[in-house]
Amino acid sequence: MKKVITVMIMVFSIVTLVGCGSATNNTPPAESSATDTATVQKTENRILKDSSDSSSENSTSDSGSKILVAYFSRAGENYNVGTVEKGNTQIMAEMIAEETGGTLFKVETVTPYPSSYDECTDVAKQEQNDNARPELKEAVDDFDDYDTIILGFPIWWGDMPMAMYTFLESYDFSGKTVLPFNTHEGSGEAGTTGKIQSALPQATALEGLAVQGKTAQEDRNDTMTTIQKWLSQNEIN
Amino acid sequence: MNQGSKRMMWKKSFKYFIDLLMIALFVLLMSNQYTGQLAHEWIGSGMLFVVLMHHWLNRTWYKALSKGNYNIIRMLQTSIDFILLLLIIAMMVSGILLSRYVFVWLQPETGMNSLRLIHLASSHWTVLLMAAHLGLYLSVFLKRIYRNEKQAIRVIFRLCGIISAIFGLISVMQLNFVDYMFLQTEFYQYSEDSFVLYMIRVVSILLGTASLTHLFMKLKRRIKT
Repeated sequence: MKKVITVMIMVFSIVTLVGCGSATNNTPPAESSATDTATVQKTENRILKDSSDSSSENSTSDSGSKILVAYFSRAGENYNVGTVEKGNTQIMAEMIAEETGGTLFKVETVTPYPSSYDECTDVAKQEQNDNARPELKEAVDDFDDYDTIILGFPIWWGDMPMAMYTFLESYDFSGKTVLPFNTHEGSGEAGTTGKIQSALPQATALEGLAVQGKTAQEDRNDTMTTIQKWLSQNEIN
Repeated sequence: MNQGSKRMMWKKSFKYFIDLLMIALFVLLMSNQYTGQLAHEWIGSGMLFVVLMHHWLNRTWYKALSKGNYNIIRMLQTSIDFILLLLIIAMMVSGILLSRYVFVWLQPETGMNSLRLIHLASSHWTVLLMAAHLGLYLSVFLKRIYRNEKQAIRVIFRLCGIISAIFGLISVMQLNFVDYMFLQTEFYQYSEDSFVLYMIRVVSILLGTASLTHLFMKLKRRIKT
């Protein structure tokens, strides 16, 4: 009996030590500086104003094709970047719109996602398990006029957020070129390019770009350079 | 050979087959970046079955717990066995609750991120502890082999042990095992390796840890193998 108790004490002490050792020290880093946010905010307002104007105002790239930059992004409390004013994906989307002259469109759900990280992950997992199609707020004006759709999203539970699936199923993508980009925390494009191609058999999906969320949020220069390279590789710009 | 010992032979072989299957399935489970989520869940379900089978085949372990002497070696063995058991339970429960396909009907409403962290950390601990568990019982298996086969096999096994220990240690570092074990990183970082190279890495870590544990046992016990 004594031996059994000794063994159990050994087991419990080892387990406790491990438990203490694994206490996370994931304190969010300082929020992005106010001036950065203000400058980007101004750019965002200008771009959004453009996209809400009538279709005759929509800008085209140098090559003459009409480009839509549709993205899903969630600010608030996020992993590794703390609480942010602007989501990692949105930052990338705005850079891409700037480079290509494309029209920005933010994919937004009627019911917003919780700004608390853990709560949001619970909602996202539920939606994924249910194969849900969350209702979207707005529709894109004159979707058919665009020939290139640049599609951006974060990786949620190893896949696109379900809101993106709603988006893909809301329009006719036949004959269009789709260029995906995404932010992630380790899983790269997580097989989403294949999923997009399967969801849009009549469209052509090109080589996507995956950028670590923290890099997009905090290393704007690096991200811009990566985006420029990727766009020219895909012969856009 | 009479009927009784023939049956014993089949039982032993089946035991070893199940052990081998567990290792193979675990290597595939660690490779979920390459197999994808659906396959990962089905292989995990298979693993649950194999683990239960392993426990059934070795059920005398439970009975023997209250019997006999507990020296340091046996205490170490038993502690590692227990921790491994807890880890496997943690992996199974978290895996089942996180399931998107096979056990999707069991989804809890909350705590998903915590479950994910448990699954991430415990998987990496399990790699090392499963290997240590293997290493602690390896002498039994090796004695049988060495008795019946040519002695050259001992050299080959030792060579495998050394090579896997070296490459295993390198891989533990390159795959940032310690980061996941202590949740310094909360998300699995996909590897640039090919599927085959990654599996070789995991096998090396398993065999390397088992070999080092076996070596430790030998030195402690002065077993002749």
